[in-house]
Amino acid sequence: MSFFPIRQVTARVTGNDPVGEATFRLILSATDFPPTAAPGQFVMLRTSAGADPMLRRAFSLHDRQEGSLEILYKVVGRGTAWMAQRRTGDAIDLIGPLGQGFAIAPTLRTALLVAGGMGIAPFRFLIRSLRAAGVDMLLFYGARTERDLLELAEMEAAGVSLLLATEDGSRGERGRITELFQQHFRKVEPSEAFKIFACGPHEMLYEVGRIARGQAIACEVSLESHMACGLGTCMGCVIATEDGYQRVCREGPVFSAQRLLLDEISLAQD
Amino acid sequence: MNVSKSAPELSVEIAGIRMKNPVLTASGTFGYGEEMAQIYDLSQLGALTVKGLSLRPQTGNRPPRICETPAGMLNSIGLQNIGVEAFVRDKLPFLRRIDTRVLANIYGHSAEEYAAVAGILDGADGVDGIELNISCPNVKKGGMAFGTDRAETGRVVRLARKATGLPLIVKLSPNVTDITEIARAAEGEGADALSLINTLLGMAVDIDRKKPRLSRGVGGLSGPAIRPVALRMVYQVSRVTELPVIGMGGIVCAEDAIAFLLVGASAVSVGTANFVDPLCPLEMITGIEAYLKEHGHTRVQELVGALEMEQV
Ligand SMILES: Cc1cc2nc3c(=O)[nH]c(=O)nc-3n(C[C@H](O)[C@H](O)[C@H](O)COP(=O)(O)OP(=O)(O)OC[C@H]3O[C@@H](n4cnc5c(N)ncnc54)[C@H](O)[C@@H]3O)c2cc1C
Ligand SMILES: Cc1cc2nc3c(=O)[nH]c(=O)nc-3n(C[C@H](O)[C@H](O)[C@H](O)COP(=O)(O)O)c2cc1C
Ligand code: FES
Repeated sequence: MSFFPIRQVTARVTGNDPVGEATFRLILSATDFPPTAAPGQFVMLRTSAGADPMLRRAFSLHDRQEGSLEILYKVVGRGTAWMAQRRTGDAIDLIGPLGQGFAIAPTLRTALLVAGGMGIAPFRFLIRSLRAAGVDMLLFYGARTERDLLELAEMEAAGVSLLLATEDGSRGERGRITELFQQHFRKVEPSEAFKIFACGPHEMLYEVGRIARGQAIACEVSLESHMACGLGTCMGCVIATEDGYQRVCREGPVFSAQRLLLDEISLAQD
Repeated sequence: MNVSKSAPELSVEIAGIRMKNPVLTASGTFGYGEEMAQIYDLSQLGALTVKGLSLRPQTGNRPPRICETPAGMLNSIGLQNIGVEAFVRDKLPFLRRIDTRVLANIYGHSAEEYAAVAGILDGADGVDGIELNISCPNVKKGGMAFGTDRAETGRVVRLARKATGLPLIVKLSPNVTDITEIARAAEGEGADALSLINTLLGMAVDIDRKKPRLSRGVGGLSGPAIRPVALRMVYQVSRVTELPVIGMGGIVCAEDAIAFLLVGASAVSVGTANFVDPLCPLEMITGIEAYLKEHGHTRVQELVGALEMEQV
């Protein structure tokens, strides 16, 4: 595990446009943001000038370019509502890059990506990195309805094969993405050339994790948790793993499914 | 150079520990310092306090452990920590390299366990003082149970005092009827300083799920929401004790810090604000210095207890 510099920076909004139902893409110019940022890492964004809301909010890096970064977010409460009101030129205080991102081994040849809902957020950055590494990509992407399936054309253009599902059947298969995933995920031989990357609701991740584990396939999942610091100092964001409670903000948010306790929600008490 | 224009003296001495300024960081909001050191140079701080240490590693409470509340947050971490021995072995070497004071916050399930932890730290190079956490609301056994009872407080402090020659700071709980009683009990058994307040016991409910927002139901409230209570308690305690007081509870800026000094604190500690604005302790130091200059003070001590009260 290696840790790169973390910076608190004042970024400038250069774009904040709707891309779907209550969903926006925030583009920030931040020249002093460390260039070491990796796909799967996140930032802690201040979403008020004062104490209400007080704590910072966590967002995956949707993408990272020279001198700028992007966040794909859905308005679900006060902090994200504040974000949706930001206009070009406004300042946003953020800390990052934080946590451990996805691991792309040089031996990797084929990647299965699984996204549920806003779980698509970190994948643009990941797809760009996988493509640069010459990895073939197949994306299983599920959402409630067609309007919530984001950036499909862009991903296809990046050479990703798409398999879609919506709960209302408005696009792709009707049902959950895990069902579609299970249907296609037949006998795959465990190999260093093959890996699953997943991000989305916890139930989905744990199911994907169990399937992968059942066949001994390498699988990384990106988790969420309520966070106070995002830095690793408060111990507030932990998740149960084979090595005890670990910090989603520090040892995660990307964890190997092999190390998570997929059938238990917590560890034994002292 | 005109004397009044020279930089005011910011250093303070608490429990025999000389600190370069009166701004500390609070236990449980600063880890063991490593993460924050990635953001700024910690040698700028007066002191830092590490996460509560126990005799053996602790798993902590099951999640969810935190939840935001108006101008504050609730936590029920349950003192997850690596244990005092791993701290000495794995974390102290890093802390020794930083030119600041290190306070080790400790707790136990019994008075004897407090003493055992204090004893292990006694010989540890790099620890400048021990803060006895007798006020944690988030563990079943130990913690707050000691800090809400005069006799228990006295016993824990007495045993810890015997176990270590290091400066001993006793951290008080606000979850009591009369905090001055507990303060006096700690003083009577040989505490060198007092720190307050720890978090206030609180609760939040998710009405959709009809469940508490924290797994344990209750947790400790911190942040600006508790500042007036903290200020009042620091004021009350500093009037009944000779001991220096480290004030904390909702401090986010220099103005807050100065208010704590005026009511009697000799130094202040920053907790929850580290999460919101990691650099705020540094701004506080500059802000206090500017205030001293502006008000014609030459030393930060001149502010301690300088509150002007109408006589009643
Ligand atoms: C590592 C990480 C990466 C994330 N990346 C993204 C992203 O790229 N895009 C995105 O839209 N969202 C992302 N989230 C979730 C995002 O942090 C929350 O949606 C946001 O904090 C909600 O803030 P709010 O003030 O608008 O909502 P609040 O008013 O605080 O809460 C509204 C609802 O959101 C839920 N919520 C609040 N905080 C979180 C949280 N930390 N995780 C999950 N649910 C939460 C609450 O339980 C509540 O139901 C990420 C979370 C984490 C931990
Ligand atoms: C997440 C969290 C963890 C804490 N852990 C400890 C601890 O281990 N030991 C302790 O004495 N106090 C602990 N505290 C209490 C703080 O040190 C401080 O006394 C309290 O939060 C009030 O200050 P604040 O409002 O500035 O945060 C913790 C507080 C928080 C928010
Ligand atoms: S959010 Fe504080 S340790 Fe992870």
